[in-house]
Amino acid sequence: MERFKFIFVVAGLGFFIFSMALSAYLPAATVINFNEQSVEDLSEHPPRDILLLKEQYPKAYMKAYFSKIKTEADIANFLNEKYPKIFIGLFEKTVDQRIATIKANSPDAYAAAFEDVDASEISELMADEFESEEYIEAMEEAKEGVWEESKKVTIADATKLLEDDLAHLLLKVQLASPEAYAAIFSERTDSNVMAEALRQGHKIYIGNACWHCHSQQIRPWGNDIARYGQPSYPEEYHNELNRPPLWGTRRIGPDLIRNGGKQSNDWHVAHFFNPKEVSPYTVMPNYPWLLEKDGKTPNKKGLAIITYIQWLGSWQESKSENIYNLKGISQDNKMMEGVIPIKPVEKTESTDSEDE
Amino acid sequence: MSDTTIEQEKDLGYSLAGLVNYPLVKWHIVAALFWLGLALTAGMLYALTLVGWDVLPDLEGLSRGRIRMIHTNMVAFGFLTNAFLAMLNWTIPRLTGRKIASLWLGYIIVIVWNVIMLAVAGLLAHGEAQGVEWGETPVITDWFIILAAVLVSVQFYTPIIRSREKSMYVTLWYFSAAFVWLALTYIMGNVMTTMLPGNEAGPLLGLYIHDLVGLWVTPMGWGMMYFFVPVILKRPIWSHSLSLVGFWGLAFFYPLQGVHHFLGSPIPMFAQYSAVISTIAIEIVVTSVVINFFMTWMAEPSSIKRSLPIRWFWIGAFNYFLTCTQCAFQVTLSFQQFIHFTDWVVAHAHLVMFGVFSFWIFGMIQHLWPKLTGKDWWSNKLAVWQFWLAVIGLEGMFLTLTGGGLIEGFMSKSMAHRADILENMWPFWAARIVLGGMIITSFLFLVFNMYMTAKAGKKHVEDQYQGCESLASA
Repeated sequence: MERFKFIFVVAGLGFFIFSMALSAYLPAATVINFNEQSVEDLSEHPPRDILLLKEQYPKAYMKAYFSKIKTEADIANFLNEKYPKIFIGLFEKTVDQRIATIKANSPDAYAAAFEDVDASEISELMADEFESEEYIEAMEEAKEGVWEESKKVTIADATKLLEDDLAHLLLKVQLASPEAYAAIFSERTDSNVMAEALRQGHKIYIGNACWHCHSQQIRPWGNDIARYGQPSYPEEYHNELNRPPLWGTRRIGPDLIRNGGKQSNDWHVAHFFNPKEVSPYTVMPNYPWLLEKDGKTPNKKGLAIITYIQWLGSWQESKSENIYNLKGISQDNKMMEGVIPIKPVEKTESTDSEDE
Repeated sequence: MSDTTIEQEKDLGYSLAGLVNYPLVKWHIVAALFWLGLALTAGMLYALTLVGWDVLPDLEGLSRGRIRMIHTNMVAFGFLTNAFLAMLNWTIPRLTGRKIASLWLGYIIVIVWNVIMLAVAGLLAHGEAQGVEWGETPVITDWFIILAAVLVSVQFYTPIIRSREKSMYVTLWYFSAAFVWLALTYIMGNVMTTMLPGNEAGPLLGLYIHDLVGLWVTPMGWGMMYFFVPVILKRPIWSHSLSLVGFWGLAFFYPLQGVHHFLGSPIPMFAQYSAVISTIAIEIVVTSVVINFFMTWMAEPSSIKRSLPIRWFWIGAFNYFLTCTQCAFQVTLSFQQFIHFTDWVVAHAHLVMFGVFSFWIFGMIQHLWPKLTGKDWWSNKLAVWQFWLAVIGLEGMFLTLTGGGLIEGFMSKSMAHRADILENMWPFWAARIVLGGMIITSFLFLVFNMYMTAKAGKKHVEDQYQGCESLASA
């Protein structure tokens, strides 16, 4: 026996390599000709929900991904410089505000015009075309150009307005001039931002072990098809974000491999802050650090994880249409034929096959 | 030194004194229990969040997923591996008649391994993880773990190669293979999987999960059982040839099984079927080990009453039989439809990692601690309590989670809404907390008893070098 003392090294290695060949190399060889997609490839055409993040949470979006136009003050400055017309139009002052400005900045002119007028009546008088001209003249006499000057919007004023309702004002910009709107977000393309967010979201997904409660694999049996759609196929895992794939072995929450688009971004924000508010039966813990302190807007991490989740399944052309419709799978994939009952059923009315 | 020892040394032709470095063994055991404490705490916190008792504040570092990763990694690498290193430091010099390669290397391994564990736990809490189950160890620590595995190999291959014994006892077969397997398995699971996409890495994930248990923990555990049970009973093992059949069976069938963790995934069916068949075939191997243990024990059945270590090994072997029988059934595709993705799997994992290998380690500690400290156990009563609390807690947890898993599986299959499934899981999860509490209490008893033994135990009179050289007499 002593002579064969070293046989264990050979045998140990040998059996290990044998098992690797049989259980690892051969399965891998069946998919070796697939093209692996990089994150950049995946973000070429961002799905609708990911594009919406920019409109729904512009402040968080700019803060997270932009370096030049990052805050409301930056937007105000940018519009003032590049698109003065839009700037004036967007932050146009009311007559009351202009009178108040004159009162604050040049009290002489204000006094000359409204010496014997009751403060509560000024607004009404200025609204009257004939009367207002009279007052404007009086003001101009006291100090030249004061009326025109009062029209000017300072950057500080504009910033404050933007801070109050950024999403709404940006929508106005978009309606008035799509060009200006695009220019604000011109620093990076949507695809570029999505690629960064996908990478970070994937890291957060693993770092918080989301995949230990949510599987990413639909089996061809056990009612998985009825719950989550057509069984998983090799192509959908063949990309950079599946190194290695996050199939998981436990399903406390629902499977997520094609969950993208099933819920809105708002739903995800509320759900991450306090899942029980959205679905009372859930056992998912809170993730408040993915959001700002108010619990209403995501921070950079939140945007990233929402991007990742909304991306899952976006490769499916239509998710809810027909679960047996294997559109999107290369039909010459012989390997799959033994696994799934391939029955191209004629299209019926799309029904919600999902309960979660 | 007693007369028997001197006689033994005459037969052997070399001195037994100073073969084993006691402080080294002690440090590994202490470190192992520290990480077990952390793992048990993490497991309990995880269980509490599932029933809605979030005792922790909403802090990023203490969120549930991260706690789960700390729980599993600390069990596999912190507790089990440290305990196995203690066991290697004790058994290998005694089986080979040679000291370990270097005492300095021994202390370096203690420090390096536990610093790595500290880094793993810290980085996991910080959110740095890898998407490999049982191998979430952050990328940066992977290379250090591989380095440590190489150090361990150098440390323990040296005495094996320079062995004075004429034949290699089965324990050494297991150990020498396990060192090779550990490094290979770890590289496969933690390095290769990150280099391949999707379906190419998928089978490797399965192989890694299974090989970590099958090619590191299992050979270590079996080697340990084959050493300590005959030593404690002072009788040779029933059949040395049969134990070698078990070894070669393990080497042949175990590495093939990994893919059975992902039945129904896009991995080709031929790989899935081969995994299923080899898993069922492993029953031959398991039976050989179980028969060998019980026949060795049958030489003196009353030892289960008299000796607490034997009791630990006995219940561990029983659980091992249970686990592996379960294995052969649950791996079939018809079972998989129901039980995959449910708590059944969680129950199975606890039965293996705690019910078998941890129990055997407790048996080893029960046997070794008086020898290491030179003092008798402070309280035998406490040790008995520890035994029963752990056994009832574990078996109860196994039954509870298995039952819960079955209910979950059948409800899933019958298209029940997730709200109903979660509602029905609640009692099982609540029961698990009680049973987990028993396990934690048992752990505290053990630690307290060990501390009091070292501090205030009576002097240990038993011969320290009892019959370890007549093991391979078959």
